[in-house]
Amino acid sequence: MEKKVKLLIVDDEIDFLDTIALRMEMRGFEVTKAPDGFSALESAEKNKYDIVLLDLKMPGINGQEVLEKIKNKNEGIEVIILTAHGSEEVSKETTELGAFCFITKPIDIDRLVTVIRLALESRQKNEIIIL
Amino acid sequence: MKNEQFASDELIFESTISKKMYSSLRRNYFIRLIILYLLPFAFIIIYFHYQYNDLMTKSREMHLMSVAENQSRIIDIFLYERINNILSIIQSPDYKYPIDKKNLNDMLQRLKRNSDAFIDMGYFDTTSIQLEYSGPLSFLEKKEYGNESWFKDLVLSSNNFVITNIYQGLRKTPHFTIGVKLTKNNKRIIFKVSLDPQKIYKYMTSFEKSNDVYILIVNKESIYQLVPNEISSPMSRSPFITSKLSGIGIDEFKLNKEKRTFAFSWISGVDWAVIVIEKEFSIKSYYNLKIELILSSITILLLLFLIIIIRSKNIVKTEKEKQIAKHQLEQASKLATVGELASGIAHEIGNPLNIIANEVGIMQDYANPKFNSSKTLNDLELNFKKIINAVYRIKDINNKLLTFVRKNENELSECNFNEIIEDLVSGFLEREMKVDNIEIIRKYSKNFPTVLSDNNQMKQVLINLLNNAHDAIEGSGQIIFVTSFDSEKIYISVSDTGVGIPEDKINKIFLPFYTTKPVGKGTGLGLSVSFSIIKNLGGSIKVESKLGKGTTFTIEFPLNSKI
Repeated sequence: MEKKVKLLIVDDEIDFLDTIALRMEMRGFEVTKAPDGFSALESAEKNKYDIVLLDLKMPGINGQEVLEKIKNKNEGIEVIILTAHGSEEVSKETTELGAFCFITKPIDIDRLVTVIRLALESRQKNEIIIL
Repeated sequence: MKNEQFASDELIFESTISKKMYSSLRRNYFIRLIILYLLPFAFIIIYFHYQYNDLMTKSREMHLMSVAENQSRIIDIFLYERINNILSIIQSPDYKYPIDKKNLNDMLQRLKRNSDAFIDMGYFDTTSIQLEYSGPLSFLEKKEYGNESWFKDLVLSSNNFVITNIYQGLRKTPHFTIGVKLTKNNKRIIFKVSLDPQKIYKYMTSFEKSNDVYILIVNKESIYQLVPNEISSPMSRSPFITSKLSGIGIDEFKLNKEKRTFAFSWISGVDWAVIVIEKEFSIKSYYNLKIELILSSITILLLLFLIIIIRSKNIVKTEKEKQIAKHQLEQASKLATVGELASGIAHEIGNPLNIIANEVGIMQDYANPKFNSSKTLNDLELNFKKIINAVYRIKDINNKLLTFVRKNENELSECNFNEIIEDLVSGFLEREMKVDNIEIIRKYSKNFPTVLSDNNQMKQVLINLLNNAHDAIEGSGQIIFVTSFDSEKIYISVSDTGVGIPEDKINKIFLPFYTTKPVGKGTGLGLSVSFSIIKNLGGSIKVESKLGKGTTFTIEFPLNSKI
């Protein structure tokens, strides 16, 4: 049996967070939910995640900060940005901070799964290159 | 779309501000202009007209008097000189008395050398018969003069000479006579010298340069002594009766029932007065000038009146345009406010949309046999509820948005600003602020009184202040709403812990299109329109700011405001 991919989903919109988590679980992912940036960082410290799905606009610690810290502390983690509106600015800023890519809301779930697969593949390739 | 919006707004606007209101505005403005400009101007014109008239009359009188005075001096000197001529000649040692005709001829020749007014000369001894005569009228020789009044006067007088009024005498032509008596060899002798009135007149008037006056001489009985032919003939009665019998002065006489002015100057040696009157053309030119002045004054007044009519029409036009422009500015600002809110709104609408998409997605998942779900429709109740909630969230945002764009006219109602602020702040705005780490703090006054105000317009003002506060805060901060009141006013303040406004810019913040925000972010309309809204509603707004500490805007409304 294949090892489950560990997802951390960070979004301050609880309803959204609940459903997306459920849908990802239905697709065979192991999901942890974080309702704000602080609990996301806390959670990332305790557990090792493969992929982080991260909202940008959040009270307290915003998405950019979370992205920066998670990428610094967790080697080999891939962050996919979930944003309400995609713009070149956001794309440039987040990729500079190390995000894998960004997906605009509302989420097309199949597309999200595909992107996650791509991110995982790219991580494996990177690891090989690094090794 | 935008253009259509403005056009329809203008139509509504035109109809709401009725024609009646504009006509009363025009009337008020017209009356104000008349009182402000036309009446004072008319008074000034009338005043100066009278002043000018007075001045003109006085200067004309002065002119007449000065001519009269000069002429009376000339006549005085003339007569004095003539008597001296006569006395010096008849007393000359060249002649031996009793004189003969040859002597008399010689004397007359010498007199004529002094003045061409001398006509002839006669000689009397103790009798009243003219013994010798020299001159053109030889029939006068040996005539009896005992009945002539001048002769009687001279014989009885203590003076040694008389000057007659004009008379015809024995020769039947008007002339003057100078009679001189003296004593020679203990005998009284008399000389009679007659003078030509026309020559005297010519001599006298030759000194007067101005040709706009008539100069004439009357005696105490108002009989013409010297008078130009155009007016009358000597010895006839004149209409000039002077108020005084000496000195100079001004008086009036009637000419064809019209009152005219004359100047008089009494001559010291004789009982004559020089009279000076204006010639007809000079009076006419004066009246013409007066009429011209009156006409031009009336023309100026009419012009002014016309300008006032046009001005008051124009003022209504510009007032209309101003109202429309102001209205458009307010509308533009509302739209701009909405524009500034757009990113927050997009985010807020985005979230429920996400939820809907997700809920629908998960239901699709349940329905997908691939996931082998055992969920029934009853299990989906929570999902449906989430979708409905999300829809209502969008509807709520939609409603709030519309309040900014829809209303144009003041819609007055009793407003409780605590409720207005709470209604505005709670919900998506507060969430948006929270996302940017801004805390909204309310310090509402208890038992806060209501005032008559416009709910929607005030919401727009508060949104503007909130947006500015938001933009002023870098990093995290607080926005504090405080309501308070005293016996006269209510106070609503919006404070931020932002960067503050520099002193050199604080005076400009209420100006339209003044903004410190980056290009594309602010229109510079928010505060200027807020200012005009508050002013329209009878309130005021002030600002206090400390650089680096924050800014406080305070809105005041009188408690029993009458708008």
